[in-house]
Amino acid sequence: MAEHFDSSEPLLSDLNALFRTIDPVPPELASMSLFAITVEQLRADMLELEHVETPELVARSHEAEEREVVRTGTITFACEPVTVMINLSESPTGGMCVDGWVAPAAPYRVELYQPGSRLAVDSDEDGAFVLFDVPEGPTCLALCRTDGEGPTVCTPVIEL
Amino acid sequence: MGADGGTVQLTLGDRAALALEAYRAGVSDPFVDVVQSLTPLLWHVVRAQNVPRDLAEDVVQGVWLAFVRNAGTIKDPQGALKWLLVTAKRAAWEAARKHREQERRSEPLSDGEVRAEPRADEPGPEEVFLTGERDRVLWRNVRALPERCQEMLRIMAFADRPSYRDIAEATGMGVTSVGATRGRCLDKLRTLLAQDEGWGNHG
Repeated sequence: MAEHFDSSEPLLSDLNALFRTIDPVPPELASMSLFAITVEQLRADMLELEHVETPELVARSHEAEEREVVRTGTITFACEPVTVMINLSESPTGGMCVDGWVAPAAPYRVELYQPGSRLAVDSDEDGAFVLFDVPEGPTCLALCRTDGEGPTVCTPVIEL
Repeated sequence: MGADGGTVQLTLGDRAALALEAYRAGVSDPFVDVVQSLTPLLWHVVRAQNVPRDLAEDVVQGVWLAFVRNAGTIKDPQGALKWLLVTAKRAAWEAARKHREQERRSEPLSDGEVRAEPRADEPGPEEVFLTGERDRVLWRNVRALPERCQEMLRIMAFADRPSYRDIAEATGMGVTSVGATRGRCLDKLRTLLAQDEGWGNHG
């Protein structure tokens, strides 16, 4: 990345290096900022599902102080008329396996957003889908029917 | 990347303008690049206000969120950098104020007790990271500067010259005095370093 200080002044260049060392920018800060923007856009454009049923260890929101970690279990989200159930398990390869099911049954386009990445998969005719090797971290799912019917919905942010 | 590499180096102001226009146009790649390249400056603007690191992360994220929420109301794209800096500085003040209040409430002092309250950006752990003698000497002398100079130099260390005008306004400094203040702070630091034997061996 390009340097953004006045390089004609050597002391500023020393200070730049000094502050990079003592107070480094958190490496994920830019991608977390972009993720926050993505989630906000999803919320603006879509109906946000609500948690209906969650295992004990589940994140309820993206607020830092409330953030908890989902390990495994089933979470149900709903927003009339859509219900989404996702089951989390550990993939053999180390990431998380997210398999889920959407009602009413129909083919859905499922998008999984995380800081710096987006995965997409189509569900089958019955609304069942699976995403393998999802990295841990804050996650938001967005779902819309591939036939364009019904509302587009998104989940709250959960921390895998 | 630089002029000598055959590509034009965008100023920070140009980058902020590009971010705004890319966002408005719904073009994601340039927007992502700009968020990545401007985040360090925002980080240091916020941290220079004594906002603890974990809070500073929330503040910087909040600034970017506010930027896209207000993308429609920033009239002149060339004003985007100033908008970001002013917003970051205000949000940092607010966060620092709330943090101080919270600290006061959660740690009531008993009568007569004087608590040595470290500033949020005070050393301690930082110095552990400074393995080089030269950096340690530099940091020691930076901390001996008036707070205003410390803030100024920290931000300047992550800004390019064309953005000084925006920085001046964001830091509440007169536009005409920013160059002079920068010069004065650098001179003070040079003077301190010249008196520091540790620097003589390295500078």
